[in-house]
Amino acid sequence: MKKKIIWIVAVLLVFALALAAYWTFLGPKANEGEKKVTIRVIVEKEGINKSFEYDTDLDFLGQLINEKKEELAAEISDMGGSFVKGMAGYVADESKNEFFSIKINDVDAMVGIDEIPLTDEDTYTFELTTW
Amino acid sequence: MVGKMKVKDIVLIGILSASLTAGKLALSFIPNVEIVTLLFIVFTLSLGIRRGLLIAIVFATTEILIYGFSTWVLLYYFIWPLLVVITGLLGKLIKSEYGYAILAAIFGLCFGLFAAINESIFYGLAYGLVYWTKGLVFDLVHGVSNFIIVLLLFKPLNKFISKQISSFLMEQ
Repeated sequence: MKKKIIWIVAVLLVFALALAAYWTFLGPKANEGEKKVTIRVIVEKEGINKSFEYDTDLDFLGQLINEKKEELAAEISDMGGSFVKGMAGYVADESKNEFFSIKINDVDAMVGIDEIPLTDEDTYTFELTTW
Repeated sequence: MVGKMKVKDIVLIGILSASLTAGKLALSFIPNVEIVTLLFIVFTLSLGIRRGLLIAIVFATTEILIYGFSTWVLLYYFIWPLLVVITGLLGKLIKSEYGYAILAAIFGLCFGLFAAINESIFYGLAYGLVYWTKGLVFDLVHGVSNFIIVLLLFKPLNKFISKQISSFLMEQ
């Protein structure tokens, strides 16, 4: 059993090192300083097309949405990372295969809101879509 | 005799597939920590590749019935049978639980890579690459947890399961 504990401790140490390397080299990089950004919400079937402008020094989109949750009428669920379920008071209906797509300056985002760094003058669009 | 064996096979495959589903659900609240890998290794060593493959197919199909049809379906019909085949082939070479723990760790670490390859078939290589790199932390957790779980539980579970299966198959 002692040998196994030594192995487990060794593996956990390697894990910690690998995790540190990941966050150093592959983790999301924040843009520091004050930024002026726009969050746009489109729910065509409800006639919703709203824009919200913010001056912020926060690092990531997820932080901003959480801070302005009430104003954005956003509903966020934690699924191992923040997941936008609702915006502008409309909650995506999963039974109808609805979800909010995220675009950064009209280009599809490849990651979730927690990993999207806020960049000055960028527009983040949340549009209700179906898959 | 052949008929009886076939019935026993069906019963075994059903029960063991159900235990995989139950095992997966039991730990589903912890992301990427699972005992499915351990159970597949143990089942394959006790029952061989052919029955192991059937268990993997029933398990993957049950997952579809629970979670619905999506891109991961293709992955599940490939990755669990792959583990069964690798375990079956390496079973004669690996002599201790350390070997199986290393096999389970490699399997966990590579799981995201196979999932990314699967996703890139549907959404393109760029998406697959992002999918893989963004899931690397989960792969690390998967690999490390697989290593620890198999290292600690393989020996007692393998002893228990192989004994139970042997006595079940020997019964008239």
